[in-house]
Amino acid sequence: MEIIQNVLLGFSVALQPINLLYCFIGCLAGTLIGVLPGIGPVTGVAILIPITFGMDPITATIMLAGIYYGAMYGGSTTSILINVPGESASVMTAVDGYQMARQGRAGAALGMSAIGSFIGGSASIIGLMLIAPPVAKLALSFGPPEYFVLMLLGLATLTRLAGKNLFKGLGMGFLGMLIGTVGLDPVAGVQRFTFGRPDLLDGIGFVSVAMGLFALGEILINLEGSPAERVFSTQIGSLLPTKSDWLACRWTVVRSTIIGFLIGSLPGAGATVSAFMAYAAEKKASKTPERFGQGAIEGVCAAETANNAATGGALVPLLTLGIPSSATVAILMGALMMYGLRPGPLLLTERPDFFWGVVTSMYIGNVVLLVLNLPMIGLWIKILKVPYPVLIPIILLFISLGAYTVGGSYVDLWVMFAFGILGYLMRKFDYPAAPLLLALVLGPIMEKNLKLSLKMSHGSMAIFFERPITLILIAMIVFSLIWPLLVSRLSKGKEALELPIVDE
Amino acid sequence: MKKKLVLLSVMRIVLLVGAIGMLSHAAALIGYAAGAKYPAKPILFVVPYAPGGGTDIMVRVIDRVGTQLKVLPQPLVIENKSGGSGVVGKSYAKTKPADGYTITCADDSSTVVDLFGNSPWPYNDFTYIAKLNRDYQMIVVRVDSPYKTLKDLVTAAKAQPNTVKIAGTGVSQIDVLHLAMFEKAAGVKLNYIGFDSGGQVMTNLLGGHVDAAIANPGEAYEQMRAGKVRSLGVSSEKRLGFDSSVFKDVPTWKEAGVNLSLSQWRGVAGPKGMAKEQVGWLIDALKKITDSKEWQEQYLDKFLQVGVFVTGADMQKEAEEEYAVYKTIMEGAGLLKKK
Repeated sequence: MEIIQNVLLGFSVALQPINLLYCFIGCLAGTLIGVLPGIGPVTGVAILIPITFGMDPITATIMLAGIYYGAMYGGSTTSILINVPGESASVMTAVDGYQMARQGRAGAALGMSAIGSFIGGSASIIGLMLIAPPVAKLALSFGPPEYFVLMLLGLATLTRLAGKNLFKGLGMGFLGMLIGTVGLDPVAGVQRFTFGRPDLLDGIGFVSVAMGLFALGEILINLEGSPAERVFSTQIGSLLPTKSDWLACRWTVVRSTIIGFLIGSLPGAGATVSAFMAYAAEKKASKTPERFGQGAIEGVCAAETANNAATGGALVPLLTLGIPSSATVAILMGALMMYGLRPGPLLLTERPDFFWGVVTSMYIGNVVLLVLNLPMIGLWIKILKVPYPVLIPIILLFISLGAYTVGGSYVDLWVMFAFGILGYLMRKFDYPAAPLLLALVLGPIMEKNLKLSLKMSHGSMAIFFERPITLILIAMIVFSLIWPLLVSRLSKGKEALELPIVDE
Repeated sequence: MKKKLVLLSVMRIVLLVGAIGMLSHAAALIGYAAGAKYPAKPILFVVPYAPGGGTDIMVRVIDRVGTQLKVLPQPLVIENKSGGSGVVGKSYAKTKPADGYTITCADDSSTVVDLFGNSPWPYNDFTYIAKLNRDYQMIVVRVDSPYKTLKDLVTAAKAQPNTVKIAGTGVSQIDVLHLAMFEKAAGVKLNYIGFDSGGQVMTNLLGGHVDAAIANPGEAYEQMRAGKVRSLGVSSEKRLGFDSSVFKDVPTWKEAGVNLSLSQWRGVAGPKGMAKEQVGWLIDALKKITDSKEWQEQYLDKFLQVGVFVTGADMQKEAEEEYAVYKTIMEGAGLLKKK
């Protein structure tokens, strides 16, 4: 069997002591980068590229890849503990993870996210080994019309993220899309809502918005309570997920891995969209969707499994076609070229030692990350024991630094503070934040692809109904919107659709 | 006790970051006060694009080769400030004193952004230092495309204007302008589909969502080598001298019947008003770096760039001439947004 030979070749490269060492260093650095807000995998990889010059290309790539997927592991930590999603991909982790932490279940949330990450990450690597070429073909078949309809499907999940009140949720979704229009018009190139500031040409930064809405909003709302009111349950509980947690998550892991891997392999969609989609799918599949947002372990598991599975998927187009599918992968590709490798369709045949060495090292890296992260949980949850008056200034410093680091601009800081106040008000009047963030991510991609599609078809909407993939996706949208209605009809309209009339 | 430990280590990191910041300021002051020989302290190079991009790579190779050859006494301090097609980073560099300790990237993007009305300052509001390389444009198609030559594409586009879909990078960017120049020279009208990155352009070309693409040689090289993509022509004056098995048979646009040659360029500039001596020192240093075989190997050959060396006033003159050409083109194509 050729594949076995290839995998053996890969391990013979990846298990060399120097490669193991750098795999470890990469994973460790990635975890730290994931924990620090603002410094995402993009910046992390970029910062560390210069130190890889002069290293063997395979060793260097193993380390950089370690940083990339390691950051996805690390991102969950601050989301769960202090409601600070350091990367856009871990926003959905914060939604339920932080609630779990407040209920004293931080250990279980961290444990489940580490294990979900491990399974998602490893499975996507096996996917990369076995089915990379067909998946790459699938990625190529996604043009602007397909992306537009895929984003529409993503927005259809808004209804599932909306929380108790559908209208409030949709309203937040519209607000998110509106915020997403700031910057240059994606096709005409006209400035919109920039007030002549060059800082706003590229739009409003997602990380600042997320940290403002989540972390700062949370801090402000907590300031209202009396000092005696502890924010966290004092007892920390078990460090690991319980047996019932495992049972609850067994299918979540499978579904989220598949969603994460496939969406991750589409250039331009990436880890964030796959985490949102997996979360929404899980909520839909759940018998008790009302628990989502209140500390459902499946929510944490879905988001973390999917965003790690996406990292394997994201490497498919790079390693098989020489096409970068995300900003981080584009940097990785630049680095490969600097090392003298030639990422392209011929890489796999010209340098099998490189391809299989890096891919198998990722497998080892996932084990390293699990071993690295599980014992850390005990240490991390000690943070929750820090008295709130001490913790708040540290979190503030931490997120301010993070918001500034993203673009090196004060504008991002102001954006974060403004959204902190908005986040506080939203919390106060019970408006959900997740739909806003989802729409902020999807809105601009959707708009761009809508306009490009119409430019391709000279303004005819028929382009969305002439292509097999768009038709399948449209069918999925229709189904996902009609299904809850059908269910509610069938069950005599008792429970399913929560319209605003039943508002609390 | 562990919580104290965690706290302490957080504090330490914060202090360390602060201390590094202060140290670099202190060093700056010392350098000034002594009136020491330039450069008395590390030079800040503001890269106005994201790490890992073409410009970032160029600056990092300058830094690496310059340090290796001991042309730069200390390594550059490289700061990436991306956004607004380079406007954010260049604006930041322009706020720094023109004392030779802050430099940034010069490129035709400043011109283009200015013409599209997205720049808060005029494109030539810099001290020009040196232009270092050129990059060309190619029209590429899939190997199975019915267009075997540039003529085929032009004929098809003439027969049915606005139907040939051609992908490029960005809106309000140089690809749009270069394509407008191509359309004018060839007498055709194409349907431009502007994506966000070269990667997306290639995906959409390979996936068959567009008929052709405008791409730099470096962006298309691996796909050409793998026999997935064919180049119908390159915008240079002469055929390209890179990997001859791939580029030998690629005609120039002129050879292929479209009387036009054009290129992009990159170089180094500083805030307006830098002293002559400092500009002179930087030109010398960049000359030594770009004359080296390390530069040839690590930058030009690897990323398929053509080296040039045009400095100071000559470089400014070229930029101003280019501005005039682009402005006319944009007026003709109805693209000009600037009043």
